[in-house]
Parts: sequence; C-alpha cells; structure tokens
Amino acid sequence: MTQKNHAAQKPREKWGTRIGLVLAVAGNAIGLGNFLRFPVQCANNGGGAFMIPYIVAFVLLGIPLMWIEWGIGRFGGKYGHGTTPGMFHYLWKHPLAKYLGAIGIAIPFGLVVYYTYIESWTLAYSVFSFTGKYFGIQNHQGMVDFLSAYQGKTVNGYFNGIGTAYLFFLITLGLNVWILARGISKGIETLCNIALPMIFVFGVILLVRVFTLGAPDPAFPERNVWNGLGFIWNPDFKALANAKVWLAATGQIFFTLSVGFGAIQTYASYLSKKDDVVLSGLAASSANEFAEVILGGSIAIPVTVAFFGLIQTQQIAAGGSFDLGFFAMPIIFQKLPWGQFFGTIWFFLLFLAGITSSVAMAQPLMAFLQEEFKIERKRAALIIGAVTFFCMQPVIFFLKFGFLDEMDFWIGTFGLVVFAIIEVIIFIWLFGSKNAWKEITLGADIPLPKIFYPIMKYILPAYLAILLGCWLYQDGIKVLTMQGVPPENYPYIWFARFMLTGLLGTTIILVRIAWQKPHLIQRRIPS
Amino acid sequence: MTPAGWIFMLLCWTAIVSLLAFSFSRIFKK
Repeated sequence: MTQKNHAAQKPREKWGTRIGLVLAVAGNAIGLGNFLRFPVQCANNGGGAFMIPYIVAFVLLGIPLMWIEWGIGRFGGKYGHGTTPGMFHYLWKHPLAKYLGAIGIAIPFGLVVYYTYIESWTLAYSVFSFTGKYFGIQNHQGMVDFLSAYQGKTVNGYFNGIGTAYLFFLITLGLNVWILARGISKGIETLCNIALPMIFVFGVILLVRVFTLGAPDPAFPERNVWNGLGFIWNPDFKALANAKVWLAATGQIFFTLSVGFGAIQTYASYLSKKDDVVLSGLAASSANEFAEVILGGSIAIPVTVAFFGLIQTQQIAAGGSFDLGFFAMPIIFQKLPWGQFFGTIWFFLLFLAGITSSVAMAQPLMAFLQEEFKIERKRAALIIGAVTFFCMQPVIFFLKFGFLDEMDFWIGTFGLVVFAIIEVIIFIWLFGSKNAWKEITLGADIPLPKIFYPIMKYILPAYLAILLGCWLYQDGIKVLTMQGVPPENYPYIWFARFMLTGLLGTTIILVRIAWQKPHLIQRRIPS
Repeated sequence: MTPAGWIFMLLCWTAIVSLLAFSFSRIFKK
C-alpha cells in the first residue's frame, strides 16, 4: 500500500479522553493575554467597572460564539472535515462557502507566524531568570535596552546580535512541530494534560507569593498588594459611560476565549457526532476565566503597585502588556527573595500558555493538509514548520519597522471579528437557526437555556457588527492610512500587507485545488 | 482597596469558581 493510499484510508484522529479535550480547548484559550493583556486592559479601563462590560460580553458574545464554533466543528467532523472550508461547504451549499472558510485557515496560521516568535521570548526570559542574566539591571530603561538588544535592534553588553533570539525561536518552532507531528491525542492532548495543571500550579504559587508580600518597602506603606488589587477592582462607574471601555472589554473577551480564530472548530471536529459540546465548552471557558480573572488579575499588576507605586504602575499599564511583562516584572524579581525561582516559573508559565495556544492555531492547517491533500501527519507538520520558518523571517528582522504590529492588527483584531461575523451568518442564518440550535444541543449533558436562541440569532450578529464598525472607525482608518507611522517604515508595512494578502490568496488557491478533486470532498457521507 | 472593590472582586471570583466547579463536577460525574 502506498503512503498516500494509507493516509487516505486512515480513520480521523480522536481525542483520548473528554477531560483531555476540555484541557486542550482551555489551553488554546489560555495564552499570554490572560496574564499580561487582561490586567493591563482592566487597569486602563475603569478597574472594577471594566468587569461589567466584560461579563456582558462574556454572556452575550463569548459563550454563544464558543458554542457556535463547537457546533460547527463537530458538524464538520462527521463529514470528515476538520477545517472551515469543508464545514462551510456543507452548511451553506454555495460555491463561495468554501472560499470564505479559507479565512479560518489563514487567520490562525497568520497568528502562528508572529505568535511563535513572541512565545520564544518567554522561553528565553525563563532561562535568563534561571541564570540571572538580567539581574543587575535595576531600572525600566535598562530592561528596555536589554529586550531591544535581545531582539537584535541594538547591540549592548548583553547581546551582540540576534543570535540568541534566533536560537530560542528555532527551539520553540521545533517544539511546536514535534508536538503537531505526534498528532491530536499523543501530541496536543498530552501537552495540555501536562501544561494546564502546571500553569495553574505555577499561577497559584505566584498568587500566594504576591498576596503575602504586604508592603515590601516600609518607607512607602501605601505601596502594597491590596492597593494593587484596588487598582484593578475598585469600580469607577463613570468609565461605563465611555464607549472605549465597552470596546476594550468586548475585544478582551474575543482574544481570551480565542473565538474567531478557526481553531476551536478544528478541535471540536475530532469529537463523535453525539458528544456533548455545551458542557465541554462551558468547562473550557470557565477554566480560561479562572486563569484570566483570578490568576492573571492577581499577579502582575498588584506586585507592580507593591514595588513601584500607583503612579508608576499607571504609566507601565499605559505602555501596554509588554512593558508590564518584559520590563517591570524582571525588575521586581530582582527585589524578591528567591527572585530567580519566581522569575523562572513566571516566564515558563507564559511559555506554556503560549505553546498550548500556538499548536492549536497551527492545527487547522495541519488538518487541511492531512484531510484535503492526503499528506501524512509528520510530513504535514514539517511543511508547516518550513512555511512558518520562511514567513517568520521578516517578522524577526523587520520587527523594529512595525512589521509584527501591522500583522497583529489585520489578523488579531480585524480578521477575528470579520471571520466571526461570517461564521455566525453561515451557521445561524444560512444553515438555519433551528438547525444550528439542534446541532449545538445534540447530546448536550446540560440543558442550554432557551434565552441563548435569540441571543445567537439577533444579539450576537448585531454585537459583532457594532464591534467591527467601532474598531474600523477608531483604529482601522488610522492603521490603513498609516497615521503616525514614520515614512521610512512604509515599505515594511506594505510588505506585511502583501504577505498577508499572499497568505490568504494561497489558502484560497489551495482550497480551489482541493475542491477540484470532488472524489475527495464529496465521498464522505454522514451516517 | 475600597469595600466596593472587595465586594466586586469576591463576587466575580465566586461566580467563576462556581462555574468551574459546576462544569468540571458534571464532566467527572459522567
């Protein structure tokens, strides 16, 4: 039997256990954003009052969209399709459907291209914490220079080129490829069964350490952990009148649950047709919220307030997630007893959160190559590794010209919402709301409250359309017209756009090629 | 932290832990 025929006749992979699936979906959702982006967003947008729009968005947008994606995924899986081109093909019998589904492969793969690089920084910083490489740098500017030299933007006494960053990038990419090559159960499920408990244990250790700090400097008693928690939780209800706060909270729900990525559908496609999706989706979401609100909200910002005070923490939070994670935290670890240990587990926690997300984002392309092109699993993983390596070069070498930021806006902000709107329209409106409801509730272990029917049909698409409109108005025009971008960066920004267009175009062409082999697409009849 | 901040934090934490306990207990019961 040839390798090709062997691959064609192999049954689809399955999850080993249900808890393994829930941990894998939770691992997909729990990423760097839970520990760095959430506390910064919370602190910058009204503290405790931020949680009101956050909860509203969780109930009206996050959870319904998550159930929709689980439903679409399990539906596609029974036709032998683990990616959205095949899923949309059966949901909406229109020639355009499969091409719209191509976005659900291009988006997660585009994210892999730059996310894996950021993920490699966390691994590097974990090693640097263990060896104490940055110990001795006691101020913010020193840490900025340290990261800048690590990224190859400048040269200093710590790094004389991009070699170290490149080495960690290769290790991270190699680990991702190795896990993907091992498959769904032996690779991704095993990783998440180990990584998720470790994330929670490390998170709780760090939380206990932070909560027992009190006021570390007796000269500044107001710099304490409780004031740090207050910075996040004290409600400023005036902030609720600000549309930006609602937009930020909704965006955070999108990122944190990893909806609109195309990855949940692929994971859910490995379910059996009567496996529950309602309870599993709820369990994965609640695990994500635990990691984000309880762990993520209690570590970085409170400890920063305890060491730097409220005013400086406000400046750090205004600088964004990287300022908090890569500049402030390393300085804090130097002031803590056992700082090397806490620094090591903090950055390793971030790395684990990152890798469980990056393998999930690469899996749609894996499934596409395996199922639609009959490429054997290990070969598909190597192809993905090679393409990621190739596409990541400009991200690494043009970082200082805004290449990564440009990709992040079009994929990580704009693309997610556009794809979410497309999938909601196809599943709820074109496949039919009653069919969609039946599909989601099939085999459910808990009853799905009927209130979610009108939410999915009317409120969710309206919510998404408003979100997209607001983002386009607030940031889209600015990014599109390159406002505030130095003219010397223009060629790199255009190159990023060209690469993104090429990525989407190539995926569409691959879908077209796959669909020119109708015997491969139409052969699967659901039982 | 203000009393309102404490109440808000504890409410959110309770809701999340309850949701987590409910969903995982149902999964393990199966």
